[in-house]
Amino acid sequence: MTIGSKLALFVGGVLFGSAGFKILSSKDAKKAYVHVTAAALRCQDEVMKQVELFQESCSDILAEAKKLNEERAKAEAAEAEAAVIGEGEPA
Amino acid sequence: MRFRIMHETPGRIRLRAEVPSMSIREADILEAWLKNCEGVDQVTVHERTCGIIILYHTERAGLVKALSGFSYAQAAKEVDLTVHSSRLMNRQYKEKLVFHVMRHFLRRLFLPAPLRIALTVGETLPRIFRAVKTAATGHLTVDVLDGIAITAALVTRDFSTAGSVNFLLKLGELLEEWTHKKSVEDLARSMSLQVDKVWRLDEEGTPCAVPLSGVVPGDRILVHTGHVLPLDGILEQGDVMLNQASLTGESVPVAKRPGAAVYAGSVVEEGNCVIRVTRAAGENRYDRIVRMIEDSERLKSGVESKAGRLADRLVPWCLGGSLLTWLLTRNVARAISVLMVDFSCALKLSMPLSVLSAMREAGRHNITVKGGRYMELVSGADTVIFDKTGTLTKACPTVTEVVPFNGEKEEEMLRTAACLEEHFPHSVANAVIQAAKAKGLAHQEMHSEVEYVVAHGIATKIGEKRAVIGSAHFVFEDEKVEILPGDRERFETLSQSLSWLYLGIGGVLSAAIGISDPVRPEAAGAVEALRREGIGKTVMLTGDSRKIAERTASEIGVDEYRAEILPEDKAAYIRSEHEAGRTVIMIGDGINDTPALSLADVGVAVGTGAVIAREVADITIAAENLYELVWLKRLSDALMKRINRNYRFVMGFNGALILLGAFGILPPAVSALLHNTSTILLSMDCLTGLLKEEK
Repeated sequence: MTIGSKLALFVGGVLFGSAGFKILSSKDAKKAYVHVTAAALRCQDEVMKQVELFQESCSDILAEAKKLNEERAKAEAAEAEAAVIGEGEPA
Repeated sequence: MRFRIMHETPGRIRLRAEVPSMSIREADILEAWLKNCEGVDQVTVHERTCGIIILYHTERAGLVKALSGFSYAQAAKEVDLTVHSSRLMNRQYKEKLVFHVMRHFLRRLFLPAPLRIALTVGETLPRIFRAVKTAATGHLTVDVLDGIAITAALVTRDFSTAGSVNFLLKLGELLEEWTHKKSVEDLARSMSLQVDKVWRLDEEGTPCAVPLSGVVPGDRILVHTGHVLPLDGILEQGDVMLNQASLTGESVPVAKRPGAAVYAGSVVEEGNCVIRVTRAAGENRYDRIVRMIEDSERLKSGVESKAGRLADRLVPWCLGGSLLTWLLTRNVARAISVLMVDFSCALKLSMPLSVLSAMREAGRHNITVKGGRYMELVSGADTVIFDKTGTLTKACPTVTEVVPFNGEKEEEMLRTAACLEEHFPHSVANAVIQAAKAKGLAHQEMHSEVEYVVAHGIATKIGEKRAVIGSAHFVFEDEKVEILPGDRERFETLSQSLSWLYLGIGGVLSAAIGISDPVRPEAAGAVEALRREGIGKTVMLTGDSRKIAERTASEIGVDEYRAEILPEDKAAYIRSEHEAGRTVIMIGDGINDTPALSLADVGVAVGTGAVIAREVADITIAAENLYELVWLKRLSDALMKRINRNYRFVMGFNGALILLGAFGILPPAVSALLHNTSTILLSMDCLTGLLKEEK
């Protein structure tokens, strides 16, 4: 690093230390933080909501799949019954 | 309130409430109200999406109609809101879980490398510090192993491996914490009081029944033997023996004198008392139960503790194995591969999850299991002892005959008997009360000083005369009640197939009340099923007469039976079984079963019985069906099988990973990933149901 850039860094640090902090903690900056945080929280809620919607859709799919399997089992049982001749008595 | 149907299949309907938002409390009200609706099996309410999923088996039209008439205000009145809700806790943990996963993957994708590395180091540092602290005390635990593994990864600049190991470890810990909290809350909720009416003393000192919510601090309430204290207070009158099992975990009763503080949830074993209430109904008892469960480590089972200890003992071996690999191969990567497979953490994680999940599954079936080790014991049990009345027989015996003696009138005797039995928490007493009600025989509290002699009967004073009601042994032998000569013949011809309650007033037999106590229809089948599940010996113990016991025993098919047994004999029988080295399950419901229930390895209370039995028992079955016991045995067996399978899987899979790592086939990152992912998947599998749903 040249001496020029080192000097620039030093001056920058002094400025930041004196004026920078003041700006960062001023009322306007705080308002900005509040808005950003509020947006982040909204985002969080939205994410959780999407997760739950996704969960609900998954349980829908599961329920329909189960119903489908039940109907198939019933249909197969009916077919098997129709293919049987005679009474079903235990020997 | 308006609902929109989002999705439907037969028996399942998913709705959305057309409201802008739903608060936690509103969601709880809705869920509780729906659960109370007829025909509804299962309800899930998501307050974030305002989504409702209902599983039902009734007419769709009826359900729809009920829903269209729903309003929060109305429902809030109908529903019991004092019960603690876990919704907030579940919501917080779900959030934690979701964001933990999201943060990890988003970071990998979007964050620039230096920042990611800094965050990884920052997050793993606490874990490393913890490991160092534990190692400094000389205990080489699973935490130490994890810490060393992560440090090794960091040192070799393998930050992504360190990050993923930390991520998966934290994920496992979150899962366990959530499951643990859920289990404690479920358990505390089912152990919480459900008392609706109490006897409050008014200014003159006469007791009158009021609902629990109407009692304020400063009121005086009367609590009889066998009943549970519904509220905290100071003992004003009466020397009592209190069983504080549900508060402190110990089943030995404590003597309390006037002036002592007593707490909601303790059961009066002996003596009646008057309590001055200090706190109204609220969350007091719930919080206390939660604390008791946490402190007493009840939830832990023997297997879990064993697994935990084994896990810790394996740590030096893991470290040694890693060191050995390095020494033999001089290859740091291979040594670290071996180090990454810290399978002791897999053991420590999967065991509690299996046990807790099994307990919750039982809870969903309306069986409250108060600790993991009881499921272990049920699985390994050889003997089952049944109490007869209320357990093997239906909980509602009925009065079939009232035979008056001494010139008394039948209805008057029934009225008197009902008045006495009102304070007696037993199913036989209920029969008498119901019979009197059916005949429209109302009564004033015409007696004073109810004195209850455990398992035998009640003694009290009506006006000037001493009145007793109870079994033959109590009335004739203990109280020396006489039978007038003119009544003797009728007395001798009383039917042998009924149980008889004798009422004696002023020392003379005044009535005999015949109670028929039909055996539960499923009793014989349940006993046979238990035998098939591996129970070697089934026994019936009863205080009833020999003849009835014999008939019942042959009807049900138990291996052994004992009749005319006193409470002390029941405990003695269990002691003899213990001496023979057998594990005993005792099932009972009455106040006279409590010593036996405490002594048995597993005490099971049937839900309709005396409150004290439910408080003292280790497992409470709410349903009216003895097959629930068979279900419980199958669940416990399935749990033990799963635990053994977990052991084998963890040892086998991770052993293989270690070998592959040692031979250099798997680099450290891969072996860490495989190990930790398999642990998480195993843990999630442990949370699934053990027994398939049987419709």
